[in-house]
Amino acid sequence: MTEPIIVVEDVHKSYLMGKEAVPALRGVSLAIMPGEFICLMGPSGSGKTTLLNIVGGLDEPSRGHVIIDGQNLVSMSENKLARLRLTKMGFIFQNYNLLANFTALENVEAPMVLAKNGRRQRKQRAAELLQRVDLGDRTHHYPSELSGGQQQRVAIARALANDPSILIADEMTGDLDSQTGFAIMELVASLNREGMTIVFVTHDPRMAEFAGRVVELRDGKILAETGG
Amino acid sequence: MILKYVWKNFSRRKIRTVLMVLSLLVSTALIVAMSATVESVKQSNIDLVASAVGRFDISVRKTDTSPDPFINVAETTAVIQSADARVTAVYPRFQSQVELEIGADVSQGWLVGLDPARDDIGYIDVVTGTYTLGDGQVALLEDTANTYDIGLGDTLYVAYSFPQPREAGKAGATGASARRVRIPFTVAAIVRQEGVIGNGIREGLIADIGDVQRWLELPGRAETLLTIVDPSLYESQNAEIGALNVRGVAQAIQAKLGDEYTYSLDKAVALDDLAQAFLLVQALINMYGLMALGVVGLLVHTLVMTNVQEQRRDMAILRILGGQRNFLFTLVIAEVAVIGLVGIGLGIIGGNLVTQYIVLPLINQQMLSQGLNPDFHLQVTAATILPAVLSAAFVLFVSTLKPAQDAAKTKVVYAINPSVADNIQLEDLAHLRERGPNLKIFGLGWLLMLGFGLIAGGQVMSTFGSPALEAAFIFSALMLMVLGVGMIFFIFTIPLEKLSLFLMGLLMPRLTYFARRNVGRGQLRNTLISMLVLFSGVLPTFLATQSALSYANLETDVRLRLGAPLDVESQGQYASGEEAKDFWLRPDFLTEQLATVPGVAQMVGVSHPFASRAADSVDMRSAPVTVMGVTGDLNDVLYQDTMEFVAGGPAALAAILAEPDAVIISEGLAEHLAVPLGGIVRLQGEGLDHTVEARVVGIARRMPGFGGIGRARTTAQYGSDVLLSLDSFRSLTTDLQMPLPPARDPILTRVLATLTPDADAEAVQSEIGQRYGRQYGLWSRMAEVQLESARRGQAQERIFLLALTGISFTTAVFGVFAVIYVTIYARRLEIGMMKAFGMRTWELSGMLVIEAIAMTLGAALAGIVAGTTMAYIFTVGEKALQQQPYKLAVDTTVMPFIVIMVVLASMVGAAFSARRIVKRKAIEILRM
Repeated sequence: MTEPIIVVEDVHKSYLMGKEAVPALRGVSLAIMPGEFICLMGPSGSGKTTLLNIVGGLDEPSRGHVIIDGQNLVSMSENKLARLRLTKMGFIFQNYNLLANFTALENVEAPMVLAKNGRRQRKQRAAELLQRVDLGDRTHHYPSELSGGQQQRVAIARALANDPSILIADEMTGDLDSQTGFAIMELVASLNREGMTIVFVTHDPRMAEFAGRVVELRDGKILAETGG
Repeated sequence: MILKYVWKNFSRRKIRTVLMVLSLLVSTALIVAMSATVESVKQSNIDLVASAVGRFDISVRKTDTSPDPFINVAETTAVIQSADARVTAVYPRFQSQVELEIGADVSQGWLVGLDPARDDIGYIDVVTGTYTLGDGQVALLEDTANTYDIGLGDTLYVAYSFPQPREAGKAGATGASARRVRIPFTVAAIVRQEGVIGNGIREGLIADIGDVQRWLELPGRAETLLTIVDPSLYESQNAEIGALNVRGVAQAIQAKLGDEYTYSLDKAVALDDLAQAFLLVQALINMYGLMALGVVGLLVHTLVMTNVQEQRRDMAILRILGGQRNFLFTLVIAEVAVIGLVGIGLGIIGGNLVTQYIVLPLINQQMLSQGLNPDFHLQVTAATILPAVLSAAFVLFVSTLKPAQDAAKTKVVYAINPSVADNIQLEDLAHLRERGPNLKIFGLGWLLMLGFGLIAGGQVMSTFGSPALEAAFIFSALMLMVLGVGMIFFIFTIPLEKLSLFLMGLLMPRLTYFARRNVGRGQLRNTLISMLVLFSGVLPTFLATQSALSYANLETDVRLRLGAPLDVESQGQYASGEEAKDFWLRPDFLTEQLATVPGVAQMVGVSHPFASRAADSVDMRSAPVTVMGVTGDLNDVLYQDTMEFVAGGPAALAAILAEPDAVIISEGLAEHLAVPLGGIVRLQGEGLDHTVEARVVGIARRMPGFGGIGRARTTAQYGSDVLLSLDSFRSLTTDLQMPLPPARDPILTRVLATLTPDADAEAVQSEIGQRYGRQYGLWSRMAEVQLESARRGQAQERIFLLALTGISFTTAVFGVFAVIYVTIYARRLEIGMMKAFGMRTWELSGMLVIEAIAMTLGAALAGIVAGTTMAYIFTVGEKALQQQPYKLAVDTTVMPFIVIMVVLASMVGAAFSARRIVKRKAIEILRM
């Protein structure tokens, strides 16, 4: 039987707002199998982005465990976490977060530089990835010269650079028009079909329909799960 | 409300506020410290000058045409004291050069006859014995005692020559016999003097004036009356005014005493000269200060502009709430004004503290080690503080104006829908239709006028004749040149950045990969940092390279200027007309007198310069020349390595002695007259129809000690030197109608000589000065002494340059720090993203440090290249004009200092600025 690639066990998370601790997650447990396409939904303040960040190793839980591919993130040092993110995960954000001074090709290349890939190999792969997201003719364009949809596609290509097994996406279509948003979701879905595990957050129920399983959060707890 | 808002802003942006305050504090403190040091040293120099020239103010003597050269002490003292109430004391003195007979030795020294009971001018430091003058007891100066090994109780004789009055309108009878008196003295003490007659005098003795008067049979008489004035006359903040005050007293005395007396105001003259010299130093400091403050201005501008951009929404809300544009403008100005008050205020206090507790004690220490007795006290005056305060306030206002205007223009839409706020709004349309004054064209007009302004301004300044204005103008022009050169060399910044990155990439390829793109593509901020560093680097490098070049060429320059290890010149070398002949030396002066000076080896005498005209054999081409005769083979004394012949070789120097009317001419003259070696040059001699056909036995390109021999034909057309034998010279300079003067007649004005291997150069110079300085109007220059003095000066120059570099770069460092800080903050999303996709903390810090180093190092290197090139152009151009050889040199003090400062500032600035962002979690950074 296949082991879950992501295991979230009784995760709690509180933020300090002034002198008060405000709970964002209250004992969330979740297991995600390899190749799953999971959507986290919920109203503002439900804890979906917090959960996504914890799953992605960008944030740490106040209590509980997060195990990625057999490794417990809670006990990991900052450097090991960085390594894990570099090799096993790809990130896509609502506002793309591309490096402004880097061309599309260089943006995609950046994670491979950190992974110490050879120059020739990374250039070739970056070009292939951009080709794959239909930006083969925009490789030397800077982010400011690309539309929102194009920028998000560069972000997706960059997320795929080190061939991660998990793709983490936070409101990746939030800043895009519907048509472009659907196109992006189609692209992500195709990645999932190739076996990549995808965890994403959205407000938009139309985008959630792409997911195989939808986890609904409210007040820091899982309210319901559908699909799967 | 405004102050509350300002205070809240400070609390929110502590680091930025601290950076602005610190940069202002440091730059103001440095300028105040430099000005206060200069002012303190200037004031204290009254004391130093007094010790150097003698601690008296006015020296009154009879003129050398007065029938009675001695002063009636009682009468004249009464007149002087009644002439001006500011005269506080008058002391009679005998003060002359005499011959000291010590056993078989005879030497020159000073006889000082003073009244030991009253005369308290200067300080006597008793080395041994008892300082009791009178009854034939004298105090011998230590150097004389050491030289002749004289002890207490020994007797020495002083041969005093009575001054011979000169007939008005006629030169004195040189060598005419004078009445001499030989006086015996007994040594009661061996002493050192400071300020009694001037610090340079170390040979001689001090006696009771009563003894001197008795032996010379001149009761109640003195050679000179030393007058002391009220010290408060020097207390003006301006040394020049102090000097003029003393002159006023001298003029009052002159009005009472009449024309039979002459007046020396050595102290006032030295102070006056010093005041002029300090004007230049002050102007240079002001220029550095302005540059440093300019950098602070850029820094403040950047930080305040960033603040305004970040507060845009708050300001829009204030406008929605009813705040007027003026209010927003005032908010920004008030914020900077508070920072200015604190920064400048602390800077003034800091500057004075630095001067009081660091700079002045250091200077005191250094001067003490040089045997001087400085007593520097901190001078806090308007002159030390106001320039710094006014310039800082001006720079602050100018740098805040644009951000304040931007703040005032904040649109309310920024609070409602920021994403469309930058689009044209309804309120902008009205402005678009208005035609306002075009400030860009106005500014461009001024810029174009600048060239004319510099030319015309220079003339206006010299018309006003104020040295301070002229110095300020010259340094302003220099500053503009520095800015211009900086801008020209700005083009090298990027290649040098790339070079730095390439080199760093060899060590840290991954980090450099990211840094390279950020450095190469971050337009605005990188330009700002580069400008800050580049401008700060140009002037220090220029001055340091000039200093290095001057040091590298020092020996050659001195050798070329002097010609030989010892160059003795008489006033006759430069005087003209019949009077000049009073200072000509007999040829046997060399063998009979100069040869007796210990340490002098071979000598060649050079005649007075004779202005003539040289022409080719048919007078087709001609040029003015200065002809000089020599007594011997110049090969024996001149520095051979700096001599260069085109034809004839050094043997020509012997050939002119052997062959009558044989000459050596310059390459320039040979070319101009088109005369080859062996050709004939017609020299115009003294009197009518006197032409000498001289044969050219040598053509020289360069001859040390003879500046009129060079290669340039254009220069030779207007004058060059011609050398021949003394006999030929005598014949050329004697009218054909007159008999040739005897060979013993005075004709020389210069002697070039070598020294024995064991000679002490300073001792030889001092001996020549004492023996013949006054008698023949001679002075000597020693290559060795000049080199040593120049080397000492160069060490001090380097320290001064390092201090100035420190000033300009301290503020640049703050600028770099501030810009890096702001840009790192502005790039936080990028940094967060890089961290999110796996970049580790140290890698991020490393990348930012590499970026900062590359940007600043590239600019610093461009500044260094600019300054060095400028210095090379200046020096090489000057040497080419002077037709002198030169060596190129690189400064090894200031340049490394600049590089180290810049690299350290970048590393610390980037690491510190990055620390508070990169240490956070990726998600925290992305949420910031």
